Amino acid sequence: MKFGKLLTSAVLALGLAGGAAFAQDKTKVGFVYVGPVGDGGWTYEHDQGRKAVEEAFGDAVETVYVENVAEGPDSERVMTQMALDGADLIFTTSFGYMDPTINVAAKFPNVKFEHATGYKRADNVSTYSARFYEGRAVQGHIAGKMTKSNIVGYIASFPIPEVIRGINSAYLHASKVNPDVEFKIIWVYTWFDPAKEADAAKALIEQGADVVLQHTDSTAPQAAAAEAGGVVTFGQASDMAEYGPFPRVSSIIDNWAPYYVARTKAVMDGTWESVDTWDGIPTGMVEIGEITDAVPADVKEEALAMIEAMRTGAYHPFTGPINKQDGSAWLGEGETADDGTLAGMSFYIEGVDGEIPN
Amino acid sequence: MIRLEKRPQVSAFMSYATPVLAVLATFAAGGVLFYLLGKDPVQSIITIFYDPIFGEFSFYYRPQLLIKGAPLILIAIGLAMGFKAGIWNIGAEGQYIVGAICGAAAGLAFYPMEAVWIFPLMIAAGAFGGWLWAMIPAFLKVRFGTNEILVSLMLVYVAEQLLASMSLGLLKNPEGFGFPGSRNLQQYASAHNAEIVAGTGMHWGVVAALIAVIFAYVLLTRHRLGFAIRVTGEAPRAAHFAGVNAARLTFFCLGMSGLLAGLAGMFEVSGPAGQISIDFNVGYGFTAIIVAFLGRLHPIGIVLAGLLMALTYIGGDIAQSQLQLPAAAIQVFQGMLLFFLLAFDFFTNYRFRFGFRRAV
Amino acid sequence: MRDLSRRIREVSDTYGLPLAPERVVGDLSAGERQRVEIIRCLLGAPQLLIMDEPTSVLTPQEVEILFKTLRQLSSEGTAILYISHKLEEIRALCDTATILRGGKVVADCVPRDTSAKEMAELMVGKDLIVPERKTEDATTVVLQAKDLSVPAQSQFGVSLKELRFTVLQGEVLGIGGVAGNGQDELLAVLSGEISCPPNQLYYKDEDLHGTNITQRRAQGIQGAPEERLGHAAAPDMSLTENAMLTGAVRQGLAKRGMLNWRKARKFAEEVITTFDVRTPGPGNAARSLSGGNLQKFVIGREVLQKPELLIVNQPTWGVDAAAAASIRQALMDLAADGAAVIVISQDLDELMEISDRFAALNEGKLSAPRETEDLDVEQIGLLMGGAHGLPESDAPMADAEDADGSEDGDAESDAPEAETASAEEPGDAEADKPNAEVETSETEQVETDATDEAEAEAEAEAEAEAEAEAEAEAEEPSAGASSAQESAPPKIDIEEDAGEAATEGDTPDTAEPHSEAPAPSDSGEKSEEDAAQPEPEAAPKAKTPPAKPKPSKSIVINSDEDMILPPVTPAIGSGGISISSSPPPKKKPDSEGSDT
Repeated sequence: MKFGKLLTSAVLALGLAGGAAFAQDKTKVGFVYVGPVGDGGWTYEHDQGRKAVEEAFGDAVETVYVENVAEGPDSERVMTQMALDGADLIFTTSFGYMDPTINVAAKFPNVKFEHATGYKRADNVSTYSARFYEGRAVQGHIAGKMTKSNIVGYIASFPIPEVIRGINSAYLHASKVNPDVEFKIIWVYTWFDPAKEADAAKALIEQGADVVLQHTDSTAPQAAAAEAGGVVTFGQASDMAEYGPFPRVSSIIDNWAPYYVARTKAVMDGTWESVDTWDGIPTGMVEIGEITDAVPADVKEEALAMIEAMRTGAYHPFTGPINKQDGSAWLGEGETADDGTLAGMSFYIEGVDGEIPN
Repeated sequence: MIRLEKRPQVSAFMSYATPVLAVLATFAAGGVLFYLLGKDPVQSIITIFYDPIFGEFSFYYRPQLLIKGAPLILIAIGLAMGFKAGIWNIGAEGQYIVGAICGAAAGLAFYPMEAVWIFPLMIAAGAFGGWLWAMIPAFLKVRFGTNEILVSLMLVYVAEQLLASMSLGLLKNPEGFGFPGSRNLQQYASAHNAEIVAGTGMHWGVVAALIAVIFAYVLLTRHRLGFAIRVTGEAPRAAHFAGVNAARLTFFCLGMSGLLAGLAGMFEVSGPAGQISIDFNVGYGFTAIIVAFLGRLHPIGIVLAGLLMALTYIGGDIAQSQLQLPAAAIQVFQGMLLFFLLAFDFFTNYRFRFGFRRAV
Repeated sequence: MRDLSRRIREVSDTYGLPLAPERVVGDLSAGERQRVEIIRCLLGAPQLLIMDEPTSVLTPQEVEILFKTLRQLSSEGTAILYISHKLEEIRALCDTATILRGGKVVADCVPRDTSAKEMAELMVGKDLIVPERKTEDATTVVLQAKDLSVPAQSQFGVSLKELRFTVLQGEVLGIGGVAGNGQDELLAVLSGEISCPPNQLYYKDEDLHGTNITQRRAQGIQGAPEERLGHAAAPDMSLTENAMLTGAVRQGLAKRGMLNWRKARKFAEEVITTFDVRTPGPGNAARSLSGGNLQKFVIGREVLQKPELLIVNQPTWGVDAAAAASIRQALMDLAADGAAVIVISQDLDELMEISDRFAALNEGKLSAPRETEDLDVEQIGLLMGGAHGLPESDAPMADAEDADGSEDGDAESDAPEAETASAEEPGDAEADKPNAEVETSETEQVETDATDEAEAEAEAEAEAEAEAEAEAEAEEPSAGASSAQESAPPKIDIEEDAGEAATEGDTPDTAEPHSEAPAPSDSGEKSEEDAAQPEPEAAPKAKTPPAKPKPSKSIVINSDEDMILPPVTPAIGSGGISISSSPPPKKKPDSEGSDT
């Protein structure tokens, strides 16, 4: 760990010397992206957040980003490099950056790190994530109402808790309004691969799905649905409004801007602390994109009501009674899921077909 | 009238001069590209090529060159041996993955036991895994005459599925809250491929790469097997006439490249990457193909080419963050470098002739 | 396109050259490809058609078809310039002939009135000095083949059938025959490149089954394949590396797998100096050498390793005269030093010159080896291919004249080609002429002219008949036609012999398939004539005046006498054979020779 000290002292030196020129006037904020900023989904929304930071603070901040950074040693190097270049705050926006973030943070104790969707924290590492499952609840409701074939397709990325939560939430609310609904899930093992996503969408449509939900970031499934006709989709991570009003009838939008602005401000004020943030609709981290007129008015109204209930905290998507897939009880009547269970969720709820792959 | 003419002999001068010319041409064309993007061309090129080696933070980047370059070199060395013999292993990425899986599995099997023999065992397992994966196309080629290019490439996708399955199942970290990915080998001392001297980037993979380079150099220039490889690539019938057993050579070349790719994967997973995860592989196996050709399939050339590739990656990332050059521009720039190398390469074998050919 | 394919069909129907326009060229046989070339020429309705060794890749049947076509064309008024070194073809087809040697016109003749022998003589020059061979009575058997049979290695390969021969220490065994009749396979199986079945091939009484080429080298068996670039040598590798290629074992260039390049370089240098290989040095790439120099290197590389058995295929193929002479000398010296040497060649003169015993390979079968001394070139030549000249190299084929020894000789030698036509055994004479007698008299019959005549007649009856007649008939029309069409000016179509294109400078055209028309096959009259000629020369070789040992010969024959090309030489540059359409007479210029 001598090297760490070496780096640290180098950074300190920089902070004192070179930093004097910069750091005092400008707060430098770095962003590490897993995809291209033009992906129209996940990375795009993070970059919107970055722009919001620039807008909010103007000349007081300088933001830098590196896109297409592979998880693993490459990301560690990019983070180190940002830290060396004098970044005060670094957002690492992919789950796979977790260990590298922790490693780099250990070497640069004076630099603040924010890691998205992870579970490891340190004194200078915060984690943040969004309660996408709240948005999934709305999607599930609309899907359950709108499907005629009673088959809902679901393009899933990786079998991790976040994705499983989404499936459970969507199914729960779809089956509530349509007991006959059936979910067909395809695992594509990628967050962003237009070709694979399109193939998956086509396969689902061929199997009779007339609603396709996606937990991947490209717009390829939207295009596939538009081509097939008569298939309902929802935007993911980003609004994907260009596919509205149909097939895209609504969307889940990750709105990182408020959080990024707040955290940057905290660094500037010197009030930054390591926290674990998991926000949803109430704080605006999760937004529901416009529900188009393709959705029947009554359904739209119900959906809006549900959103409102979640915003006020009156409704929790996982409210009992809910059984696990094997029939065992999970939540009793009126009981709501605790964050710990949700964070590590690795089981389907009752009614979902199939097994979680591993 | 200008025309191209094949040189009677490969030009020795040109084979040394082309890399330099190519780099200069890349500077020129890349400079234009960056200028058109509204960036300072000189600054951009300095950032990419100069800063990582001599810049303010070179104490950090130089070791990174080794870390990034070592797997490329290790894999490319193996590939080059096959390529020289006309045996096209395109699936080093798959062998890299399988080597990593086997290596990591061998280590994790004994977690949390600490013992000195664990790391050597992992090395053996990694090498074996890569070798085994490469034996599949080798066997199919020898036995059934299948095309090793297709088979080895397809096996990359199989390996990726295997990797996903391992990250989510067998090797999943039991303490990982259900998230995919194995335990982090960096936190398992016996299995950690740590830097031999901290801060130098010298981990065992770098050592292995150096050994592989020397081994390949000796093999290709001094050993009968290397000679057989070269003759087979140059003139298969002459090789047959010289007594080379083509089937055995196929097994050797594919096996050796698989073995080295497997080693690269094992050193990567136990060192810089730390864990088996779904996105563990980042394309080293494919980039190494470029490195192999860039280095003219020569061991020393491959070392230089591997370091050069590493440099453009590292410098490219720096340029992205410091100058906000888009990632795509960096990729175009890297593409230019390859393009110019290959284009100038042409002139080691051909030359321009001016004037008309005498009609005879 | 449709129009074109219709025309192709028309032309191919008209001339009896069946060809489906929609087929892919890659799938066609060599003969069919030739047909494509010819039809392509015919589509242009040429008035002059120039063909350079068009039969080199054709089967006898295909040659027949071609000839029919040519005669028809000729009768329709097309002038045909037919370049070939196959005398019988020329005799069968052409109205007049011009003979070139070493780029100069040496004679004009009417082939039908000229015997193959005569033409051969003109072609090569008369004198051939047969080098004295040291005849040592060796008795130690080095290599023995007992009904050696090897299946074809590829679709286009030839299978070897029941080869039976022995090679003695200190002996040169010559194996003649036209390329593509199993020569490559024979070399491969003897050298160990392909494996041989058990109990069929013995080296010093040891079964060679199960030994590979490297092991055989260690035992003292070395080979030099025909194809220099790509088989015997790796084109882009240096001479040092190429020396390593086959020298590693016997020269001790490798120790425990590690190569000793210094030693290899020395060895390469030794080859270069000993065999006078012209090159700046052993560091030069094989492909930078000329054909002759590379061949010297290849042969030298094997010879210097002091093999106990050396097998070479076409050792002087495409090599200039001087180089050829030194290569031959080296082979003979090697034998004189006690090695057994097998020389596979199409060049009969070469075989006559250096081999002690001779056998012919045809369609994978080998005739029984005979003492070469009992044969002469003419006999062998006539038997094998109708006395065609071989590739340019040196060979004086003509010397054959001395008829005497002939008979028996042919009997065996020509076995190969004739076979197709004849029912006889490969071994003996099926050949054209000799038939009747031959059969009876295998070996030594020394009948001179008489024989010839007799044969000639006999032949008519014999197998060859059919063909012969066909040709004979065919010819006539053409002759007539030729006169008709004097005019024929410009349009010239040139057809180059496929084989040639590939080779470099000095090429000869190698392959000639012809088993077809054996020399004297034309109808009776001609053969008689032929026969007649030899007579005078009855006296054994003595008579050949030593004048020109010179090698290269090319022959140009004009069919259709009327059609006279301008004296200009349109030179088709392929491989050293230049063609000149010779204007008329200017006969027998000389035999000047740039001798060896």
